[in-house]
Amino acid sequence: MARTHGTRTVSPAERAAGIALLAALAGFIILLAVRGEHYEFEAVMHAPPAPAEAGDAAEIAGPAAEDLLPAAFEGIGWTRDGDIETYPEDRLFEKINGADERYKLYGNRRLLFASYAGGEDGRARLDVFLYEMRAPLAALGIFGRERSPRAAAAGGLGDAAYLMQGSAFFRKGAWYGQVKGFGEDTAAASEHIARAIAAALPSGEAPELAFGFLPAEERIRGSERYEPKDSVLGTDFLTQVFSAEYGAGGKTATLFAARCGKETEARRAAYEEYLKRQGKVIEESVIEGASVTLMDLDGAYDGFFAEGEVLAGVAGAADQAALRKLLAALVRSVRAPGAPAAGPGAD
Amino acid sequence: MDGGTAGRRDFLRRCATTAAVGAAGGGLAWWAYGRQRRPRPAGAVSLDDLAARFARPDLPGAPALVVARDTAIADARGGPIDPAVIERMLARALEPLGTMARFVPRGGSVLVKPNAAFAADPLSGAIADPRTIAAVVKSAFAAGAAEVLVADNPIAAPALVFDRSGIAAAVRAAGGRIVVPDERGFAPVRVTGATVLPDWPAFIAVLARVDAVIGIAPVKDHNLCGASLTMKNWYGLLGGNRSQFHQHIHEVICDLWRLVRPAAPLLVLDGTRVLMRNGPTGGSAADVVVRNTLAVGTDPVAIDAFGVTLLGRDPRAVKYLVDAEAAGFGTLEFARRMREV
Repeated sequence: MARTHGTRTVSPAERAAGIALLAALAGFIILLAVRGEHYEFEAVMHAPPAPAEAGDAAEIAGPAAEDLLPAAFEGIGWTRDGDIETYPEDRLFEKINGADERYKLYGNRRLLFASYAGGEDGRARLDVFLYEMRAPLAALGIFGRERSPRAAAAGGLGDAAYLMQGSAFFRKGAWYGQVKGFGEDTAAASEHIARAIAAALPSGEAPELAFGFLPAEERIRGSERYEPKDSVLGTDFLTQVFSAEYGAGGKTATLFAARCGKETEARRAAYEEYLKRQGKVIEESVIEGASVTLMDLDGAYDGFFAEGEVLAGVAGAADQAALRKLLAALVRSVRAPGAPAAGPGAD
Repeated sequence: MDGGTAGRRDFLRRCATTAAVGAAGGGLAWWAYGRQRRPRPAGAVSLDDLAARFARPDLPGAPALVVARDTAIADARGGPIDPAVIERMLARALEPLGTMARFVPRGGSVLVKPNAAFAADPLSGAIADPRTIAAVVKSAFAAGAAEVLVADNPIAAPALVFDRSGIAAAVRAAGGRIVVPDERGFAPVRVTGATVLPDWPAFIAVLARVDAVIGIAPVKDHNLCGASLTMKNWYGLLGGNRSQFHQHIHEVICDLWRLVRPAAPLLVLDGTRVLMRNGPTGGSAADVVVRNTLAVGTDPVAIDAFGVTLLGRDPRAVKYLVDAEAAGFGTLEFARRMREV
């Protein structure tokens, strides 16, 4: 029965509603008092990652990202987990942090990234990093820079490739691709995906043409490297360094040529000083008409010469005979038609 | 009409009463909310103000760093690490430093700051191993911590990074809590004596909450600074567009130590596997070498100098370490103050 107070009448329903409202208010006050300003530590724990702006991909001409990194790769049961992420050069750091400067050094246009899940239980993962560089030579450069010295070339995959413990790395045209996994169970899938992507990529001019001043004979296929700033020889003063490995049976040496312009003689002197800190001059000689310096670096043999605006040489020969043979071939190739004295990698 | 007038008057009275109760309740709620809220700083804050909270007992004669090695830690190919082996190594290494109890106050809150920079497989060597992180979390709880928070601020998609790296699962299994940063957790921090780091947003939400800080860094090559170790690890406490600091990375790394030094952090160097080249991201498994090594200490220069030797390099060739020693942060002559267990 309803209570009455003068002219007011409070029904049981009104009273119940009032109590509920007051209880809710009290609960709210208690909640705030207890929690205060609370940092929601795990509030975004399972929020989907923010994909990079899709518009970036459209602004750059070239193959569509979706064609290169499809939702699934047919035949192997690996499917893309999430959207394709696109990072233009000025935002590379958002994906690869301080490694971005390495790619900028060579010239990068964008990075396409996608992650794929698959394997027997569907939980194995492969991350695909697809870098579009500004030129095939840039792709060759960064590919060679990151390549493991222990990696053996994989044939028929892009322009050059290697497989390494569950991962596949390749370059084709101006593109450098990494399909990264870290287990034996990803080995076959990473190679399959790498081949599928490489097949979808456009070809570019062969960057090996830029290495025409290095001898073709005995050059180890896929060993060519191009460094805007030397990281092959360990100097901090050589730029525009082209190099490749030569030899067989574990006895290899590095042949290089660096464009030095008017600084050629100064850099030749600096290089000699640099090597003298590691060994000694054994002979100043003339090979194929070029004045060369031969050095013994504690059992490894180096030699170098200046020709026009080029500083060229051999590093790490097994013995003096091999050093002289390689130097002779190098002098001939640097002087050959098609290898202008102005040097490789002309700006 | 009386009935109509009484009803209207009663209605208005009820409205007024409800409004008064609501206003009083709202005011009380606002008061309670404000009482709990940390005052939002008008300007930059400094961890110097919190230094007293992080004080720990002195231990005369304690080494600057302790190195533990165990050849059973991982297979030669760098496969998964046995968590139990890591836990034993950590306990052994902490013993000469006074055990974890010296660094973690009983009932306190602990921040564990691993290098979780990428959504990478731990076998890549690009991040601290989840098993090492879990071992530290367990050790902190065993020492009496009431709460262990694990936080880092990777540049992109932090939640994804914690999930895919396996760090989130490992931390939860150990009883810790993952803290995923968002902008609400950052406030400008002033670093006393900074050379290049301006008042800059740092992850103050966790720093202001905890009583102890532990950093866990992998040992890895770094494209810009040569080596990424425990001092570089604090980069992950910064917010904002921090890539601009890459141009002054050696100076910034020293400033990062100035930032966290008031918290007297315990430093853990995860040298179980080492990223020898192509850092900080890593290229392939061929870039990683198994070292079976864990180092702990309080001297950032000494422990990082030791870390550089795991990379097969000369610590004096790393500029920020030379600068840090010159600034008095520690010693490059780590061998004199190192103990192997």
